[in-house]
Amino acid sequence: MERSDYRTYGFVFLITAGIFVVVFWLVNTINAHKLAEVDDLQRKITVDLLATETQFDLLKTAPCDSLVEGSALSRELNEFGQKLEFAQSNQRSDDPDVEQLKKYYSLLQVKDYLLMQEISRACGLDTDAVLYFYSADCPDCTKQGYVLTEFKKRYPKVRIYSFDTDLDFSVIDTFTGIYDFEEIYPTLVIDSKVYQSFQGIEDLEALLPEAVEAQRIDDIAVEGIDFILTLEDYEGIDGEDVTFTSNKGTNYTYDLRINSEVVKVVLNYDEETETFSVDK
Amino acid sequence: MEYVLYVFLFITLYFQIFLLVGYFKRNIGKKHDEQVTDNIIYKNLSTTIIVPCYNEETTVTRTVNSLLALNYPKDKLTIMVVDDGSTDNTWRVIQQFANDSRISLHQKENEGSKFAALNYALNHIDTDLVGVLDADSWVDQNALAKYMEFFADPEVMATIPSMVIAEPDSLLRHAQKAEYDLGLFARKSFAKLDAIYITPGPFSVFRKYVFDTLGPYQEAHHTEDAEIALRMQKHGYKIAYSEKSVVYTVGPKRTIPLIKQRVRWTYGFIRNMFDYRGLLFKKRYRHLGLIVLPIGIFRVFITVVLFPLSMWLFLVPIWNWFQKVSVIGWNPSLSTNIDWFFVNVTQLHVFSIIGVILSVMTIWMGREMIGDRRKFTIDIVYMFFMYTFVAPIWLIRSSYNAVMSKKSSWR
Repeated sequence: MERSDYRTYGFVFLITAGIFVVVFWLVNTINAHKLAEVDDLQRKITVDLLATETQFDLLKTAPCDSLVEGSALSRELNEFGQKLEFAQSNQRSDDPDVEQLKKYYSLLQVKDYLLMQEISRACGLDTDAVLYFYSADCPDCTKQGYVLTEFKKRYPKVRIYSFDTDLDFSVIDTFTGIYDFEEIYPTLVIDSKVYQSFQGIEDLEALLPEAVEAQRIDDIAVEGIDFILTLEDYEGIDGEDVTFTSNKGTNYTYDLRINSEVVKVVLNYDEETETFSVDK
Repeated sequence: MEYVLYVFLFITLYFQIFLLVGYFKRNIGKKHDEQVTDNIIYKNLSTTIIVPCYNEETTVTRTVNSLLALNYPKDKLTIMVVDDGSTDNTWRVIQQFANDSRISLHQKENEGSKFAALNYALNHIDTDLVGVLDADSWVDQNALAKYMEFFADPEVMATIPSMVIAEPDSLLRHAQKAEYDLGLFARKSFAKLDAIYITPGPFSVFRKYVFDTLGPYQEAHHTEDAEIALRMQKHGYKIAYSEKSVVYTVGPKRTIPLIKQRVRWTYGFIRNMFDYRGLLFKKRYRHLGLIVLPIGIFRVFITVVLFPLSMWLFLVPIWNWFQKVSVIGWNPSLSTNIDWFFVNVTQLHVFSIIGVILSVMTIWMGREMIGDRRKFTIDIVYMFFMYTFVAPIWLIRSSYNAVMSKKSSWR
């Protein structure tokens, strides 16, 4: 045994301890940043929601435009939920910050839901909403979560609200009380009807036929814009100058802005060949 | 549980860094300087190589031919082929060497373990050096000549080679190739730290003096090659490592023989460590007693936990992805804007990445040492799979056997 041996052991210990400290510091910093990001998102959503609500109160009429804007809000709300969910599953789930944020999230969702229902009633429009209740120890809930995320991607206008029933929170309890269902998860509430089993994408599409149809028309309308841009008559027109205005059967009407003049163009969509033609 | 894991990780990382530090340690006070070795001509000591064979009719010819091709003075090299009571044609096959004056052929009854065949041969030997070459291995032509550089130091009592898996032809053999290459680095570090604790069957060469003073091979739980090294360490005999001496071996092709081989190794290691527990935690034995052997034992248990765990960390996302695809279908929307928020970062993830980097790095260094140009190959991935799915089986089984004192068979 030589003295230099002890020096070696100490040296190696210092390096190892150093690596440990750096790794722990790194991971904690990253996670703190992530939580801060979620926090920012939450603040933004709160402001947006409050703005809509105040507008409603102020005008005493429904700000019908906000239904369109609302889809952006609902997207943010969903992103907020997903990030929270992720933060919870990968950090210690008993983290008080995360739990607090989750409660806040639930609250925001309920508020958004109620507000949107009121606005759409006042504006005479239909908004489709899916209420999703889940629990951590439910085997199908992960799959249901994937399906709903994908569904949201395909049908962005459908509003999906998810509630963690494990969260000890009175608002959620009240909410579940209204629909009065047994504690079997996943539970979906669509149009006040309760579904207590796993619903695949096709099942959801069957339950929300109007949303599917609306999305189909929207998709065709977007393709129609591309078609107009390829027409020789309207050469040099930008995509931004074309707006879809209405749809009737297979006819899609667009407004074209050409040198500050607005021209109406009607396209006819052939569903069998999936092609457009200009309706003269 | 979490904290136990961190302790495991800490010890593993400590050992890895310890080996790295050992590897880069300068040879202070060493008798020969590496820069000038190429120009010095070392004395070629008279050597006998024992080739013990048991049912090795297909490989023994190649083994003996590689010895005959050794770049070494003909009058200094004797080869003893000992047929340890083979039940196949081994004896008939080795008759082709009957007329070679350098080769003597012996036949004895099988006594159940290799050590008996080696001791039988030792009784007939009177050369300065004596070596062993298993009949499933063959040597590079310069392997023996390179040893002389180390035996020029009168303190060096044995020298071990670089072991390489030759011509891997199955997944498991590829995995073993990476594993052996990784071992080269550790071997070099151990050598610099005077802590080599195994003199493997393929081409370890000893001074005859070792057996004259310490006695012959022992049964040693079917791992006589580990026991003799520990015995030498106990008596302060120096073991050197000649990285430029390459010996090729094959390794088991299939899972069951591999597990059997490793159970024998690990079981033998644990039992021998029990027999030589006097080496542990003794200042006298320096790095060997204080770090290398204790962590060597500990690592048997750590490996059972860490490898499957790190694999688990990589498999969970794949499983999730698979589950997702199974419910929503495969839509390859390769969106380039990955939200980094959803990339999971935990301490364990970072440590497994560090572990993988260190493993790849040590394999690279091992391959550099023996002049293998292909450094990053797919077999490294196979090795990780082997250590995840197969290694726990042999580690758990051999630990169990060792605790229950259950003997493992040779083959």
